[in-house]
Amino acid sequence: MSKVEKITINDKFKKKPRNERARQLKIYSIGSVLILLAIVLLLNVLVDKAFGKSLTFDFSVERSNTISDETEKFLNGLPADAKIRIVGLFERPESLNEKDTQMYLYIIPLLDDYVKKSGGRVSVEYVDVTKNPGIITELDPNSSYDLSKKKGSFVVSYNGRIDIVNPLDCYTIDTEYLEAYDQYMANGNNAEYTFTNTMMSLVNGFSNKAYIITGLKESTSVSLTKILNSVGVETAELPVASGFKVPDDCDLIILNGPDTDITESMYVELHSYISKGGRMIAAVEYSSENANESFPNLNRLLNEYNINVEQCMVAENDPNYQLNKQINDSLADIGPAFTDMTSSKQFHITLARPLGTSSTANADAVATPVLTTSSSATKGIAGDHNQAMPYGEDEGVFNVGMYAITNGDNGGQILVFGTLNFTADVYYSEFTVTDKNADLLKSFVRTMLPKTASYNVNIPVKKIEDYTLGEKYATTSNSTTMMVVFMMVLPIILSTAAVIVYNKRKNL
Amino acid sequence: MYAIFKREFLSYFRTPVGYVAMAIFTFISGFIFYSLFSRGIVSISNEIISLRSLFIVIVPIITMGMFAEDRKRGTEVLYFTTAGDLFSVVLGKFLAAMALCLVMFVNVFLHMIVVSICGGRVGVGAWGSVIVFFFLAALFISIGLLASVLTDNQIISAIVSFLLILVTQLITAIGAYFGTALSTLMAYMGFSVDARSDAYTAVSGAIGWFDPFAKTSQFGDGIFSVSALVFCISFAIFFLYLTFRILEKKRWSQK
Repeated sequence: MSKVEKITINDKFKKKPRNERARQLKIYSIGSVLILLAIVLLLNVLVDKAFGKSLTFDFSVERSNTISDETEKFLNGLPADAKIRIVGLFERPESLNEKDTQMYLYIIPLLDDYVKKSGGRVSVEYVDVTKNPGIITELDPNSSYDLSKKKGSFVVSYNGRIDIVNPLDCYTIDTEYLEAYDQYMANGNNAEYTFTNTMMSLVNGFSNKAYIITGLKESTSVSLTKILNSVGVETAELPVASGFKVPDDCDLIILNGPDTDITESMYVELHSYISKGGRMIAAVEYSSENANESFPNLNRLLNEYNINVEQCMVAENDPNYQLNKQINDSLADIGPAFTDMTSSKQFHITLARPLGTSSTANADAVATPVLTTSSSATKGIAGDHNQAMPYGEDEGVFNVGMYAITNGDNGGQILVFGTLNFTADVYYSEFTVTDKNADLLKSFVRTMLPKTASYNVNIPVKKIEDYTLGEKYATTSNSTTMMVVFMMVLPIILSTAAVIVYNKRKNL
Repeated sequence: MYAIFKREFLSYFRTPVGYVAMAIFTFISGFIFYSLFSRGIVSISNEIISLRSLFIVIVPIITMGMFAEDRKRGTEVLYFTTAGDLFSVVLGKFLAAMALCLVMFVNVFLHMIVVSICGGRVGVGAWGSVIVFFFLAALFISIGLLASVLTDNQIISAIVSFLLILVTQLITAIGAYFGTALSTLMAYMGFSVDARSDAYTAVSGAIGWFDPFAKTSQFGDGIFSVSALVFCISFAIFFLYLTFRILEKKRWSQK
């Protein structure tokens, strides 16, 4: 009995302090880990949320991921409660260096900077339209933009108005590279220009309205709409109908690449509109679809302004003007009267119809060449316009763009292009709406519509980092050398070392 | 600490582990470099970004034996019985693994030299990626050390380390998954679309906030964020401390 008692006494003396100490150590361990975790979390939240902006530095070339002072000025000038919503119609990519996400490399970080510096006025989100189709109705309740087909683009929304930004619109394309290799190579980053001006257009609204005539087998006008919107011009379609009438709020009427002539009633209505000071832009090319069309009614209208669209095609025979050695895809010089309008001296024309003067000159109208070919150009009717035309008749300079204005205070204005390279989607889908052709068109729209808003901010194109190797180094033999050295020699040396070390030490 | 560092660092070259890790890293980085070089356009930051995904393989290899091997051989008692601070032991091993990463990375520095010689560009984004690489390496090695201290079996240690790093790498996707799950649950419960969308954003955003890759993704584009580096280093310290506490517990454990 006393033996049992003795053991109990010993346990009391030995176990209690040991358990107490272990318990204290355990509490200390768990407590210190939890406290450190709390400190780490708090520190990160604090650094991220409170100082994240000020502790982020853009060292990229030309600070391409940071908005410029012009944009900041615009954002700071917005009312405090203004809400510009940018929605990327795709999931935000985890990496911007994959083949299919590289086009967002200069866009997504820049948009993050808009959010950071806008003081809550700009928000950016990414929604996959396939997973969340409700976003389409939410952004575009009237289905005006067919957003379901705009996956990969951005929607900029303000006060119920929206505009679409295609990622390709955010870059300038190296046209020489495109011509040489038939591949796109971005040589400039236009993302800030595109987004800031889109926001400006939406915030400031539109000061003019243009109507685009539809129903004459014309070209589609998505890009044209975008270009006009960027200079504060709202667009609407004007279908050809028996009771064709130019609306009262029309500031500019556009005929974008019709393949069939305007009707008699349209001629009457358009004539009446322009003679009262209306403005019109017409673009007609020479394609296999309209090669037999001489546009008599349209010419009747244009002739009154000393312009005549001919039923043939210009063939550029000067190799210095030709693109891809094609006679029907070339450069045209800007007319001397319009050199102040643009910094570019030459513009891209394709399948152009020559624009002559009217046989019955109108003394009240002055028509001036806007675009001219080289003096080696010829004209004629091509059986197949892709083939070199075997004629060299009428060699000389041809007009492929003309601008006419009638005298008087209330003079009408007409701008005619013999090519669709200034107005049609088929051109801008390849060269984007930041192309110099678009710049010329914008300049004319500004000139023709004096009320056009002047809020278009000019943010210079930023350079894109070029990681191309020197031409003489990027050879197959050098690539092979790299493969042998870095993929074979070095790994084999290291693997051999591993085997030697293993064999030496396996018995130790 | 220096003695531990020296012993651990040299041990990489006294066993095949260091050579194997370096051989794998050299081969894969060489493959990426060759792929870029053969196209004539070499962006070192792209190469380093691709290499970050190798952590899931390399880190378990270089950390699996750090404590597990000592425990298996019984040499860990040396740490427990010496007067030195156990945190110095943890730090010494951590720095040894970091030093091995630096040695492995010499290969990428060679690529940078080659690119410069060949008229290419090693821009600020490349240096940003280098910085991020080592901060991420610190984070993942600390996770690997924690895995190593939990067990005396190197294979289990490597698997635990692999799984922990895998979860870290997939954290954004995991966040999105939880967000979707919650959103779906709320849909069954009759919540409005806005409420579901807010819940999705909140959950996926909160979980995704812990994604070290997302936080450091812009370094390669030349945008340097101090908060991203603080995130990596603070969590690395946390995991090292956790490792130290587990080691400390073992030291005083009476089992």
